[in-house]
Amino acid sequence: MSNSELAELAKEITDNVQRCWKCRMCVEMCPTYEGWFTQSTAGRLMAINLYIKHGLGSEEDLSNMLYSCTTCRRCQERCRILSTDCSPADTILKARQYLVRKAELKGERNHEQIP
Amino acid sequence: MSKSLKDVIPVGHIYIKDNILEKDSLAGVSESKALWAKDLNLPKKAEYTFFAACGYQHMKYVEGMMGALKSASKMGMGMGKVVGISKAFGKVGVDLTGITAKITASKDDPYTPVLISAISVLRKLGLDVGYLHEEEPCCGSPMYYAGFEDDYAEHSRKNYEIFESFGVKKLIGLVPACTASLRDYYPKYIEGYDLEVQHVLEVVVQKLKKTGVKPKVKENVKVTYHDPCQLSRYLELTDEPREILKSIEGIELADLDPEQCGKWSTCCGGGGLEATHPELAERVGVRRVEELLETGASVIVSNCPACEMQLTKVTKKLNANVKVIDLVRLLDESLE
Amino acid sequence: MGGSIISDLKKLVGKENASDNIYERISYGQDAAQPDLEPEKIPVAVVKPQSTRGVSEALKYANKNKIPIYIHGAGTAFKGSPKPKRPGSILLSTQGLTSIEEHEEDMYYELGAGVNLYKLEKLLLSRGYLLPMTIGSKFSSTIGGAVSINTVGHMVDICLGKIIDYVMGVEVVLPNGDIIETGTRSIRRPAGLDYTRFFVGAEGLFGVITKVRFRVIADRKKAYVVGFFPELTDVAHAFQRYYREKLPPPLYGEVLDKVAAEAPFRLRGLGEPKGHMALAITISYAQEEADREAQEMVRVFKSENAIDAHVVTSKREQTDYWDARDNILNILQASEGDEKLVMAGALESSVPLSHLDDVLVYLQTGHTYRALKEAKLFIYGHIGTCDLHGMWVAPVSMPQAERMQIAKEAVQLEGDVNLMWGCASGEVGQTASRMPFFKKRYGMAAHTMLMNVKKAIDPNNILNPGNLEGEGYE
Ligand SMILES: Cc1cc2nc3c(=O)[nH]c(=O)nc-3n(C[C@H](O)[C@H](O)[C@H](O)COP(=O)(O)OP(=O)(O)OC[C@H]3O[C@@H](n4cnc5c(N)ncnc54)[C@H](O)[C@@H]3O)c2cc1C
Ligand code: SF4
Ligand code: SF4
Repeated sequence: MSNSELAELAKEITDNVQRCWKCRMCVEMCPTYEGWFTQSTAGRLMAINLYIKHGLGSEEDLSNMLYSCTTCRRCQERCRILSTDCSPADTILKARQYLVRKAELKGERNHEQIP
Repeated sequence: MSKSLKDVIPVGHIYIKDNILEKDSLAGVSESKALWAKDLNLPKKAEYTFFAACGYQHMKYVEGMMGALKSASKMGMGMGKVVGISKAFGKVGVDLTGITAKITASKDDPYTPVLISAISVLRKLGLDVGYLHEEEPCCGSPMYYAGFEDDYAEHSRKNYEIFESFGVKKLIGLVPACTASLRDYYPKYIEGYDLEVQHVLEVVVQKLKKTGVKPKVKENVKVTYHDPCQLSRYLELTDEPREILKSIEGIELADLDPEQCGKWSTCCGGGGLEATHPELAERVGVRRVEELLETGASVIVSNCPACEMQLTKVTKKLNANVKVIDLVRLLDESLE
Repeated sequence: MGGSIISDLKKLVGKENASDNIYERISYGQDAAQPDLEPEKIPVAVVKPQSTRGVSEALKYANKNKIPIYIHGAGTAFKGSPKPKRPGSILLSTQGLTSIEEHEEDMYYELGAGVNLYKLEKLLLSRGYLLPMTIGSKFSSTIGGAVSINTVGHMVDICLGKIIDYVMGVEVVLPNGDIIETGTRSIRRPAGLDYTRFFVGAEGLFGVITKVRFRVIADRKKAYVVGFFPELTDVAHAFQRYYREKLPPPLYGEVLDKVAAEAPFRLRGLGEPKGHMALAITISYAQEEADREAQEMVRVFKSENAIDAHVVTSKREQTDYWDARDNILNILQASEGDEKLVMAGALESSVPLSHLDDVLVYLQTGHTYRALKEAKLFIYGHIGTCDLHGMWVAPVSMPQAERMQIAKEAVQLEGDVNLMWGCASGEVGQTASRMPFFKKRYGMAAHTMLMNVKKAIDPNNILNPGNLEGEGYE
């Protein structure tokens, strides 16, 4: 995993989010939604997007949001039928891959520094 | 393993990944996965190979593991602050190897019999399948869902070699997540992947039609069906389970509101979420069970080990007067 | 008080009803569509009061401390109105206000502003009523948002009226925290000065609507018509003729051009669209009457070159065609080669009936905007109510700057159309990104008047500040 591969993955994610209209039709579909957008699909997507683009928020909070998704795809079906079909659930999965890879990359670097 | 990984990825997922990579089992138990099949005389080679997966056979261990992870998370050690999972368990006084060692595939374990039923159903419908026994690998899908794509990809390629070495051509899966993994994700990572993967319910529906067999339950019962997400929205099988239920004499299917079942089924919160957000998982489960109870059914039928574990746990917690049963088991009991 | 904003707010509305989590602030700070919220404009806190009192406390606090408040229903308006323009703001979500009181004996429901439109529609239908609005985002939008925009979405205004005709009164929290009630409990609205109107369609400039007294209307019998046309202007001519013949206004009159229809048709297995699609729903108290009107519509469609026009009786077909049109974002499922498409620019205008055809031609070939001419255009709209939409799409990979150019030109073209034909946009609102046009269309004297009204009601300009000014969209 290199920096450029990580950047590619990041672009794939932000491109998908770019296609999301923030119409929020997925929100009520999400089994983890309990009244706050961060507990829902659309909130997760907006968080990833601004984290990647501007480094907003902490990785821990982001991780907590991403891993509280059950990957049930109910949002994705909603988005496909009623909206843009921007693959929200798959994008959340990609964002998890992004976190893992970023962490692994950091780990490799640390390793290099300590002979 | 890098320290930074543990800072951001929930320990439950890292733990499960390590189990798969080191012990080739979701629950990390080294005990054979094939015990359930020891009296069934399943050949290793056959036209169709049954893929049993970790789920049902090791569910008892997974229950213990989830319990331990839940305690860890309650102590605020679900993520970030822990240095190592064993240390976390040490702190909350849980000895994971202790728990798992005590449990063996017992008669009152509701999960293992599902595997036996699956074989029995297929046999009753005239299909003899093979099984790789100890050689059957863990498909690795939990790694995929946790974001460990590279580990999953590598694992899938290793597994494909195993399948090839046994001349496997056609797989019949039982656990929805593993079947989706083998059918839909392996091809993304394995060049020339040529295994034909079907879910057992697809095969059953075809066979029921062909043989004209008429299943029948001993006592009339009103059931409702919980679609596992992996079956309804990944494998896209929503008609098959209903066709099967409707084919059984004595079963009345009380389906939910169309916006809560089939391809719109609400998630029960079982599976990975329990490993990282157990309290949320429980609330999700309660919401789903409440929907299911509204149908007035006395039995909830499903067909996924994670769903069944979750639904059983939650219905117990709610003191609900319903039984959770696997579709394959129900069908087995309804066939001569 | 005097702690941090968030700790003060938590004391005022309860700690579970306020958040300063960065990701919460981002999610509530955005409206639908692009562009992303600029990081410096992310609100400092989100509050979600569960009662009118809570709203009042939050407003009092903001007013005293002169903190901007942006009101958010579901944030589905996409002209920038629910989105913060000024830094350091509080985002007030109405989604905690979900009470529903039924007063069927007096023909109204009293609805919390945060009640979701889809849930409301289902509830009303189950009681034999019709929700007189179909907003494309009904699955997420709130009644408070719809009332604040005064939009009936896809429905034809001259058939059953606009939302204002159904709002018997509202409960509003004024910027200083005072709670007032407007209107009546009678089905007859007050004559003369009825300041309900100050808040319906006010886009949150004058107060936070907390409750809506919503008149119910018995469900009607419907008949469905679909037509396919070789030219878009044929569809315009069909509706012009329909009204010229003094036929009763339909509930629905929709158009979806052929290229735009392709993706939604594919999604529903409808094959290739036979031409530009027109849809209509006629309604009446009696089925025979609705059917007769539908037959008239078919006749009119055919007389204006329809390749095919018929009454749709199959439930399945009704769902498929109408979903293909109502779920308009489905058109973005089209692709160009391997590339997925995104919206780059959008236009929406309600034009004079006699110029429907002229505007359609102008959108396609009449203007001289270069970036728009090069981009792919989808045309659709509520043609039965003379409302036309244009959406210019681009491949995801198109650089941001080029996309912004398309967006800019689309806004300019929208202004041109409205100025040229003396009309205005009929949906989504007039403030925020539409303010530069507003000033041109109605002049600075009109704008100053509105600014003065705003100042009188909201002296510290805490509610949705920047929207009336057009800040950020100069
Ligand atoms: C896919 C899609 C389709 C759409 N289709 C249509 C359509 O067909 N017709 C149409 O007109 N619009 C349409 N819209 C735009 C938008 O959905 C509507 O204008 C809708 O009414 C906004 O409702 P909301 O609850 O999301 O309000 P928001 O977008 O949150 O708010 C709208 C405005 O009202 C203010 N506001 C919200 N609630 C209150 C309140 N309780 N008190 C005071 N002010 C308040 C906000 O500050 C903002 O200025 C569509 C949007 C999308 C994403
Ligand atoms: S439904 Fe799709 S487009 Fe709409 S907010 Fe959700 S993910 Fe985005
Ligand atoms: S896949 Fe995740 S985000 Fe989507 S509905 Fe399920 S839990 Fe919510």
